[in-house]
Amino acid sequence: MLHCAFQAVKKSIQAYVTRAGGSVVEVQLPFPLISEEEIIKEFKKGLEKGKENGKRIRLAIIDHITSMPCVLIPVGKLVKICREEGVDQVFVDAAHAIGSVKIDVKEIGADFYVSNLHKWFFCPPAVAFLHCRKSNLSPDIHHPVVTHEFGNGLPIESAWIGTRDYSAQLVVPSVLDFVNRFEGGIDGIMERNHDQVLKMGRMLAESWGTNLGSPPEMCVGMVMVGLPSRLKLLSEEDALKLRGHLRVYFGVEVPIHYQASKDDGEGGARDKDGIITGYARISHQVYNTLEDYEKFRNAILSLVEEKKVCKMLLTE
Amino acid sequence: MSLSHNFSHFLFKIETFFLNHHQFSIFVHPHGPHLQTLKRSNFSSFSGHNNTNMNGTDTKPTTHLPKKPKLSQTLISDSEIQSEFSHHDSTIARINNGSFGSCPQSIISAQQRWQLKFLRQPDHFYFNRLQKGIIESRQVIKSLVNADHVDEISIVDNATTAAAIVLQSVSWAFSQGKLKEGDGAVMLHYAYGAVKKSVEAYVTRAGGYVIEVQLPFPVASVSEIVDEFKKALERGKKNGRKVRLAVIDHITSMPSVVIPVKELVKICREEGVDQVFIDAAHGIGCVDVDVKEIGADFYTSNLHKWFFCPPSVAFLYCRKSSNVNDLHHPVVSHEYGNGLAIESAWIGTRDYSAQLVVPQVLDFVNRFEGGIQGIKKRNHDVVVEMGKMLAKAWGTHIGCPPEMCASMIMVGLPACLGISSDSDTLKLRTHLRDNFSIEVPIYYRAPKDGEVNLVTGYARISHQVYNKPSEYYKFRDAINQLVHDKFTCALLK
Repeated sequence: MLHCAFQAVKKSIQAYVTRAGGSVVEVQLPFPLISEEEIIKEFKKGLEKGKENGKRIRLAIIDHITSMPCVLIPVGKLVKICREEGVDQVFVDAAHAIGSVKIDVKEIGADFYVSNLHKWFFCPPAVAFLHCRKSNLSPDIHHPVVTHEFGNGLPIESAWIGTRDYSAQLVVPSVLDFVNRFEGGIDGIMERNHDQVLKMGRMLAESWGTNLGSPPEMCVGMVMVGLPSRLKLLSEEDALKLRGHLRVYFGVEVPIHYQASKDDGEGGARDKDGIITGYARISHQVYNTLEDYEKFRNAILSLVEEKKVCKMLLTE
Repeated sequence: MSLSHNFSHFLFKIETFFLNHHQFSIFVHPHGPHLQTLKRSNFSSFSGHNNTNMNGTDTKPTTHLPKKPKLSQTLISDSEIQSEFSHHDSTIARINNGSFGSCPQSIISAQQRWQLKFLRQPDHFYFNRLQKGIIESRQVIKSLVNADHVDEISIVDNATTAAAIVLQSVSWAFSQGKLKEGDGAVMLHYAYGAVKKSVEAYVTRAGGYVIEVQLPFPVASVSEIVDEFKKALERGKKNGRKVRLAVIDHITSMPSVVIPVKELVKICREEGVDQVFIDAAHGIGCVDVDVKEIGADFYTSNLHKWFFCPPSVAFLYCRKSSNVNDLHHPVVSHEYGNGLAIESAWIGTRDYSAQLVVPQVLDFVNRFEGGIQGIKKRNHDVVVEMGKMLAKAWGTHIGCPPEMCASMIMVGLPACLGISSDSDTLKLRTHLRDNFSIEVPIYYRAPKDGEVNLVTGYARISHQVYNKPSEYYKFRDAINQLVHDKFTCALLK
């Protein structure tokens, strides 16, 4: 799995793989990065490590869009490499994907592909789909909450997991109607989100004298924008502090990522004051306006002007 | 509302409060002139009792949770009750509260307010509101069931999920060698279908051996149940096997009977059963639940069936003890390893609103005379009365003595209806729904060797606060009509 895989997924691997006796190989995601080649290179290294000493790789878990830092991964290419290298099964965690990037599960070719519909596809919390390519192993995939439908195939099992509110799952057709009210439907929305978030990202990077964490083609409706190094964002706690401070004191809601600089200082981006160790993951969705990003720009500018550093920021 | 209006409202509440409590504190909202309308939860005791938060450290003062409403508070009226349930389909005789429960309008509104809070600013809700809300709900449940510690109360979607959690831990124990192949689980033959499948998925599949306790039905006394249970435990222990887990319903689903769980748990302890799991899907709001007294290791109950919560919310009680398996929620989040209660409180982005309205539901039931105790008693008395009325009208019988019923009762259907299979019961149920606007589940009781002309079908009727006698008369008349028309299930193809 990627070392920046979503924390819940990492814990799930611990709970279900490590606990059962399996070993886990983490693939480092270079960040900031310039091209997807860097990812492919690291991934191949990870596979080699996994196959050391005649070991077998039973499962590769690959994010389609990583969470933090947020980057679009070339999953199709990585799945192909997995097949070539004899990986048993590939599971793509595409939590952000639908409504964010074009999805063709056949083209991607993974065994399992999951995406949330409440993130970028306007569904209420919460609903996601799990695509399972038909295989000999399909009958063995079960929903952990077992009902009288046990054994009737995962879609049937998942469709009844006891009395609960299924309404979020039932509005999906209405959501399709909703997105089709926009020009170009979901494709148009995706394209405009991508263009706008890049535009805003560049605007912020320019205002702050920083950078974007990845090239445009590796962003979707989100982009990582470097934060001024003068803010001295030097830990996970600093990132949380800044996030809380922005929420409470500036009315800005944006997640912040701490990117540790490498020891040799290579590969890290710099601004005029030092190494950039903090990134904001901004997003653009149909409800956003220019003012949202200007508010954020001004907030950071005023923090820098007042010579604030993360450690001293209040969050209440 | 103007400040003065609020203030006189405030004083009125203080006055009525004086009448009912010897000891009190007056709590005025610290954030300025806007005095909140005082509700039960505002009468906090500032004597130093502290809530524990999710991490076990002290937070704000404890909420006093009296089990009965204030005497002079206006009780909910009949028309208010009807209005609270006006969203029910009024054309239907709704005498199946057991399947899906019911939820009053004021709780639906409370739920919507929680949903909108989240949608308005989800990050703020996640960081600052959700955890507090869940722990408040857990505190309410802990008090209702007499658990020792709030850590023992986890909130999950439904009893089916709770069963998966308990059974998955058994599965792990098998795969980790803690349990040997052939070790057994005991469950009632009338265990709920989902639970049976869960036992198959997590116990049988892992190498365990399952014994079903055959329960007599109709049943005349608890001793019949106790005897069969003892016999099953003996079978489980044959050939040096160990019984690792007993899964016992507090109230079976179909046929519905109240099981003497306290006595069965005692027997389990005497006979060396490792762990006991009580599936009380129908428990809270239907039958008295005192988890300490019952003494099981695990106890689960839905709150949306008989405790007026929206779909869906349940609790899983896990007695604090060193013997308890490592229980985990099957959906693993970053909270993995922090204890089941904490794991269950965050299983990824979803709508937690049904879990957050529990304190509001407590307020709702306390608008009734005697609170939830009063509701339970009245439900029981009326359902027994209606059951006897129907049995008399049809010339049949009720399936168990009144003391083995809670808010549901099994009523025999005339033998001439020719109910001769499980699929007949579904067909008849559909027929009653489509042609008579009656919603009631039907149970098929297969005849044993040598029995003839028996009652083979039983209807499980229920009573909840929204029911009216006319609904039961409608059912009575419908069956009489079918009998008169010489209807048999064989006609329903």
